[in-house]
Amino acid sequence: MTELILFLVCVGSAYALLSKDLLHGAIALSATSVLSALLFFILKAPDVAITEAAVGAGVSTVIFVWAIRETERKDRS
Amino acid sequence: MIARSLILCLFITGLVGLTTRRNLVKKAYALSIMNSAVVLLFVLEGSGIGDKAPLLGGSPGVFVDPVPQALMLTAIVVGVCVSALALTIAYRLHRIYGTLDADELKRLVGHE
Amino acid sequence: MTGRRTMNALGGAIAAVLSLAAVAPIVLADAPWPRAARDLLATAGLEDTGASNLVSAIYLGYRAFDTLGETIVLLAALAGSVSLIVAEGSSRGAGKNLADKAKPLHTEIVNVIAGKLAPIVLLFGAYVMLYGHSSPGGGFQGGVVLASGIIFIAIGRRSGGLGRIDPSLTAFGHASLARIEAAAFSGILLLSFPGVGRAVEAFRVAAWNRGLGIPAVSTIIALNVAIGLKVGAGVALMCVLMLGGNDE
Repeated sequence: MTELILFLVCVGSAYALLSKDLLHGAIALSATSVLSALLFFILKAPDVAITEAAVGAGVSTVIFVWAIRETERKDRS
Repeated sequence: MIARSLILCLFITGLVGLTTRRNLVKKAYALSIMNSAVVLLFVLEGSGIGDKAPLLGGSPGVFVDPVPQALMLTAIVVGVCVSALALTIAYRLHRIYGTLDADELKRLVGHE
Repeated sequence: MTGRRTMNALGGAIAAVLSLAAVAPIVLADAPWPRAARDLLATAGLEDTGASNLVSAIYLGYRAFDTLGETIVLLAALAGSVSLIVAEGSSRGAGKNLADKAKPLHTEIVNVIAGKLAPIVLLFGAYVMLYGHSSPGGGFQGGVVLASGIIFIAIGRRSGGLGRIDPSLTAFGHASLARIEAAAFSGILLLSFPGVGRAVEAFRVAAWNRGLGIPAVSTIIALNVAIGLKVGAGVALMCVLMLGGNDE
């Protein structure tokens, strides 16, 4: 179970770095944060799980989406 | 061992992304990924010596180590600060120079 | 162009190999995890700090000064972000489509969900903040959850959901959030004075409390509330500024 979640986190992170659309990357990172929160709960770290769920899926997604909205959505390089 | 290799892979993914991606928002993603790799490693290692969340009372059992959890709490909160500051700086650069490309920015800043 | 791309890929490969060589032995080494800290905390944590959640016992009891430093880091980072967001600057490239950027938020689904969810999230945040000493949670977690609740209110206000029903719910102005943050930070500073009085052993605050006749855990609860309000107000201030930044 741990390995499966970690593999999904790796895939999501790689997708976030490779996708041409930055918004898709932000959503992928948010999903990996939720998966990490689940993993922290499995690993008996409920405090870290609450923080990761609130910070990773909530606040940092708001910040990323704000930055993308204020600048540009496509990665042109 | 597989789990630790995957975390190593996650960290290297973040580092390679930080060096090769030229978009500043992607660089912020990479920082966030490296941060979460470190957090995952510490929590995974600390949970190896017990089978119960570090709350006194309740069911019998051995606690996991609460020290890495307390440290990683700090790391997550500081990590979101890093993301916020990095992205607001990227936003200001985009306002002034109209691009998020690191190479382009280096060229434009060098001209002034 | 292609030259630069190969340079880039080459740099990435070199970085990957070097960091792999540096980090892999540390990550993959099979050293046994030390048990001393866990054993000490399991026996002495409740006595020293009064908190039965050992994670709270560490970061508000044994390492409270560290936490004070962390709140200062948070304050500095958020102050820097907020000043960069609100500062006026020349705009050469951006601003061509400011008008149609905020449109996708205005849907009925967002209205309803933001309006219904905000009070529940705020209540959950208050619970997590207040009961951090005995159940999973604490100041940082509760503060971030509170901030999510305020973000929901801000989204609802932007799309007219909550503000239309009850205007008093939209009273979370930037100024009041900043005031809450400043007051809570002063509270954290005040609460650290007993620790200063006891010099190096800050966690003896619990013993100090007991000497005064108040429960040992009260310092932890007070610190949780102060940190929760400070983190919540700070993060919410930044996010509300981000959400409402291009309204005018």
